[in-house]
Amino acid sequence: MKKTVLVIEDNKEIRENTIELLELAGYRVIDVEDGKAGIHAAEKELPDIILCDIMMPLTDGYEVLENLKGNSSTTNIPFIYLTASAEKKEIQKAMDMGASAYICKPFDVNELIDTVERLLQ
Amino acid sequence: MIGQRFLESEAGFKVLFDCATISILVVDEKGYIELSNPCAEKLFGYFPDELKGKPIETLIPGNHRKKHFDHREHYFKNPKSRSMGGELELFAQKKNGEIFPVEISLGHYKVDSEKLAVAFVTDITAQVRAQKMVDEREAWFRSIAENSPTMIWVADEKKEYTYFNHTWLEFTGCDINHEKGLGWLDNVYPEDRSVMLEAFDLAYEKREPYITEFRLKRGDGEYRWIQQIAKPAYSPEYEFTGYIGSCTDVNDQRTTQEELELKVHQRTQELNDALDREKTVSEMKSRFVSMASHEFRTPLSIILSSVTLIDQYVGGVNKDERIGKHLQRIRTSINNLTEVLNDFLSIDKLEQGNVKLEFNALNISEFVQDLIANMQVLKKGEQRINLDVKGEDMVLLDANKFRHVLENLISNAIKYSSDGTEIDLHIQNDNGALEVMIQDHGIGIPEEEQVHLFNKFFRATNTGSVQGTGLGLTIVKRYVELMNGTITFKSKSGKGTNFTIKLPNIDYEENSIGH
Repeated sequence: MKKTVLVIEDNKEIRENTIELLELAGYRVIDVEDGKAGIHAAEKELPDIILCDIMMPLTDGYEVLENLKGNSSTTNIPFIYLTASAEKKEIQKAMDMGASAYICKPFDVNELIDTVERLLQ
Repeated sequence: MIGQRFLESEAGFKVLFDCATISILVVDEKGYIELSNPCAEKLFGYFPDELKGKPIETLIPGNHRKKHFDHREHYFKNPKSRSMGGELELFAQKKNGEIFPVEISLGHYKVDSEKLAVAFVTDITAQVRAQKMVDEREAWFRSIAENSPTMIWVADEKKEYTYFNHTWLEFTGCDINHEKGLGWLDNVYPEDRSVMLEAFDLAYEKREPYITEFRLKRGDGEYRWIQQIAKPAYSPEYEFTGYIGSCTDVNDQRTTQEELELKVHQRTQELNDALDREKTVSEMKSRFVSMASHEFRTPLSIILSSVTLIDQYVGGVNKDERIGKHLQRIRTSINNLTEVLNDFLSIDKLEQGNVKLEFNALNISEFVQDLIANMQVLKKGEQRINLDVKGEDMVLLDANKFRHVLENLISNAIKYSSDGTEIDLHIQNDNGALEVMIQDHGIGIPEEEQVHLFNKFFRATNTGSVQGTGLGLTIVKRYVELMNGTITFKSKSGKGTNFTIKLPNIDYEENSIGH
């Protein structure tokens, strides 16, 4: 049975490329383009792992994680931030909120797959 | 009554007449000398009795004789005892022709209806000479005061202004009578008047010197800044006599100073404006760096992931070598660009002073082994990194900064050394104080360029096509210094480079709390 990855990313190209990379690596991928849809999809689909951008309009990545952590059915889903920020304080904030890992853009595909695999074990 | 008898006796009279130290001459109505006492004879240089019968005008200088004659006539018509001449200066003439100043008083009496006048003559040569000296001295002092280059005033012990020297009067164009009292205040700039008077009042109470500056109207109508220095004055008997003030026109100096102050003020303002602009530009740059770093990462992510996908789609054993080469080039370029972004962001944060230390306790040996393991991918072919750790295991430091420093220095060692060379890493942990030495056998740094090594954007001329921003070592040095450490190096062109970092012991108790 293929593991399911939920990708929450507002940038279409990054989202599509990430999906392709994950599918090539053998995952089933669900994708949404904003935070609110991400929360909804996570609660409905209960994916095995979530990849989420931080900076998104309206509902950002922090809010998504906060919602999912507050919901018993989603609280234990491994959560990886994809961030375009190299700012330490943002990364620190993400980790403090309970993210499992973060990956800085531009990311190496090996780093992405390795991290996903590690968290799914 | 003996006195009376003495005067009435002829012998008594003769003693008075002969022994008097004042010259006495008795003259008759026609002007002939009837009697002269020894003192008179001596004074005028005549023998005893030689004067008798001579006209009194003999003893008077030629140019005064005619006038004396008239006066004498007039006197005998209405004789009274009085001093002669009043305010006039009187002169007498000796037998040898010498003329000298005298004081004379006159008396009169009658002997058998014959009117006689008695003249008492005092030689005042010495007094006149003394007075002349006094007058000359006073004139001298007055001329000094009058012609002094500074304006001088004098006030008496009741604060009444009594004297203004010529320089003052020349300045204001007023005469002394106008200036005396408080007349001089008319020429003082209205706003300065009360200040002037108050300053004087205050000093006067305490008998203290004082200095004021005020504006005084010059004769041509222009107000000029004057500096006034005044001090109490005392008589030789130490009696307070008032104040003496000395005033100098300091308008030009003051104007120059004001201009200078204005100029300084303007320059300061310009400098502040420039600093503000600089700050604005710096903030804009900072925002740009932050924005660029963020905004570049999105397209870079797309490029990198697309390259990876292309690699997978055209991949496999049949992959064209040329495609692989170009895909690798794109990947390397993206990595370089990402590094540039990271360096810019780091240096900007350092310059903004936004970098703080966060201490972690770590096992130095394990930490560095992990770090080297992660860097193996960067090595060129047969390059080897040798690690040698001595001392205690645990150390307290900012792991992220320390990692950055080591990664940078090791990746430099890799980048600037050729395939097959060795890189030696020696670490000594002396109870928390670290000494790290990184030795490579690479291209080295040309000696004449070594002084610039830690400068921003500096790249040695022998770096050739090796990618770099010239910021890496700048950031390393700043991080080391932030950790209160030092970084030094020895390098020889073509032989290799040795970097040494020394980090001090961090007090665990003090720094681990809250982290």
